Amino acid sequence: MKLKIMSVALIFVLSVVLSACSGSNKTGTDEIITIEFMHSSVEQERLAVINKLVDKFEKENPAIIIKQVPVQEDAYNTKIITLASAGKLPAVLEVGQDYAKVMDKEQLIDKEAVTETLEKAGEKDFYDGALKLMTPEDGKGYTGIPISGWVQGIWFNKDMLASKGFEEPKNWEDVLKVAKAFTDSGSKKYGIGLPTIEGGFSEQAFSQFALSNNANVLDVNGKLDMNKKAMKDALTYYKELAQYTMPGSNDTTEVKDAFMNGTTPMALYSTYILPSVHAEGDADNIGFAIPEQKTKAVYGTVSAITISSGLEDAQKEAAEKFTAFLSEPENMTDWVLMSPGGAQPVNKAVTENAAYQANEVVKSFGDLSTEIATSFNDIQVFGLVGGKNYTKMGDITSSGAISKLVNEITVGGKSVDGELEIAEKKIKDVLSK
Amino acid sequence: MKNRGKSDMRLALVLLFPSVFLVLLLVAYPMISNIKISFFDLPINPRLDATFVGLKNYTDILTDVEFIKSLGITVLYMILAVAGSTALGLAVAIFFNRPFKFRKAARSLIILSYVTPSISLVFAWKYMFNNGYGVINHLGVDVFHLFDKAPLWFDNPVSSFILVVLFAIWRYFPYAFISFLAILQTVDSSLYEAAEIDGASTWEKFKNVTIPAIMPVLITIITLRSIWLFYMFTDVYLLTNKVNIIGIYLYETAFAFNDLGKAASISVILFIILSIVIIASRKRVKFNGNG
Repeated sequence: MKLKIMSVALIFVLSVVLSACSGSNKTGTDEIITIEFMHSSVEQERLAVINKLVDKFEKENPAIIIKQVPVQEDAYNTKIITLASAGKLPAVLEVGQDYAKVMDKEQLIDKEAVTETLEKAGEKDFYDGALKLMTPEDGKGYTGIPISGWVQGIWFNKDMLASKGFEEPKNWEDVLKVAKAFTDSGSKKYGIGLPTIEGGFSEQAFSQFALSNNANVLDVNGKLDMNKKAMKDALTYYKELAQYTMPGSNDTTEVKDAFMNGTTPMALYSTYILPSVHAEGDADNIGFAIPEQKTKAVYGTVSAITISSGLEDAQKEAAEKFTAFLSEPENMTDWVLMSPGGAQPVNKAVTENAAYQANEVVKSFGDLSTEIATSFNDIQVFGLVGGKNYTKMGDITSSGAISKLVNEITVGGKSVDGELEIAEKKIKDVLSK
Repeated sequence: MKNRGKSDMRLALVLLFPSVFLVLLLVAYPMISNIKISFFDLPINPRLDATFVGLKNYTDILTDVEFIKSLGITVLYMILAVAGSTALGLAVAIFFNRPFKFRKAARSLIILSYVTPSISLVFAWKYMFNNGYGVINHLGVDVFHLFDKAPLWFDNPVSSFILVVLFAIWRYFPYAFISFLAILQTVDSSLYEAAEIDGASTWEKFKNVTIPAIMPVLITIITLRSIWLFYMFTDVYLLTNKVNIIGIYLYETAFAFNDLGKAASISVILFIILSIVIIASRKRVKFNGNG
């Protein structure tokens, strides 16, 4: 008898524990829907803005509860894979354009729901460049709704350049001349802060030079088209330019530090350098250049909000509502102003928004802010060719083949031809899977 | 008596059930699931069909030169870091196993590297060895003129390997130190006095008194640290990308190439290798009468 009571008690306890672990989407009443929202804003001040947005949404939609899943940027993609494999992908996610391609390939995005929401939000208000980056390979619909973005180019210290009689560098040759003139490695002074790390930063920086020389990784048919003269010329140029940067593998920290402490008069960096420049009170002294060779190529990236596939109807509806809410100009402005100067608007309604224009950081850069915002339309990235945004480029970037190639020729001192062949082989292996 | 024995057994089984259940849930289920995945080409999206590929993942891995290279680097890293951190921990524990002023404060300082989060330590090391403004290069080049030019510490595979091993030794020796200090304090001092009367040298006292006394702890430290370092990922991944240890190879397979089936097969292979090594070493220890 005792044994039976104990067994029953044990089963009861286990049931309670397991049911507690399993969780539930519903919170008492059937009408209330809880959806998860995964984003990469883990910093306290950014979380405060998102909390405010979520509160506002929940007030407007009392039947929907938003559960936030803030994840560090470094662990973001790993978390997506883990959650997706477990069938627990949040309903709404913030995602970059490269990873959106990987998710699209794995059919993890509800493109229909995203496209419908984006159309309702007013497609025409978004910058073309930003929309282009979120267009899937077949050109039908979108993989995410752009909410903010950043562009990358060469930032230069106007006073430093003027001290040696230079103006804004316009092309490859100008950049090289300035870099050469300021390099004095004995005094630890260099001409340019250039990314050379074996990581995404180097691929992004190099892509800007390659694309300005009309060299892309894929051709119009989506076939690998790397090993050609235009690409070799861009690699050779990048290798030469790297002689005038700090020794070793330079990542974001090294490049930003070098520019901010006056070690270099130029740095290849994203708009995320601007908040620091503003904090230093040097907003009037910074210039932004896009080196042009055969064409103009701005590297940029878009942060988008997407809806995961396979949701139940009620959850899908809630996800669409929340995504539409975040796409409203006023809310997008709040999102962009989480990092004023760093995060750039991808929608004209945000650029024209009074709160955006009145922001102290944005105002301090004057015309530069407008110049940066309009440069979104000149965005070119590897894998976007002939109007087609090839999904397989996400796998190529994830493989790290291009960043390794850049690191080996700049820091490792290896030959362009040899390393290009190694990268090509690695990419072929990735594409054959 | 017989009935009583039976009823005790039932009660024992009932009481054991929660533990057994948890072990099955938290250890056996993931293991079996992992083994199952290793035979499939598995998409990230669970709603898409997985393809059964038999032993292909295993044959692909075992014929991959990069895997063999990674395994070799990992084994070397593990041996050097385990030997170094254990030896240093023992040496410091012996040094600290005597009364001196500020002993408690000194002990607390020693364990700092072990209790500080990896990310902070890695950043400190990266700054110390930075090619432009690192203090090591400043001392080596500008102060002591040991090098003409700052070496690219984390860009060269050999110096990167040496640094990650040194980092592991420095980071993990406090674990050995604490364990050794605890057992050294239980060794009867009369054994050392007797050895001294017999005319034993310092080395002989260490070999004949200290080593046998600390053997159980020594074996535990070596076994645990070997397992932990064999699966090391964070420290090396954050410090450099020139040392491709097996943890990084596994991570890249799973999260850069999204090949979950192959990643599962790698972990099965590693589990088998490590199990064989541990079983063999335990048997050897028992055979020698020390286990």
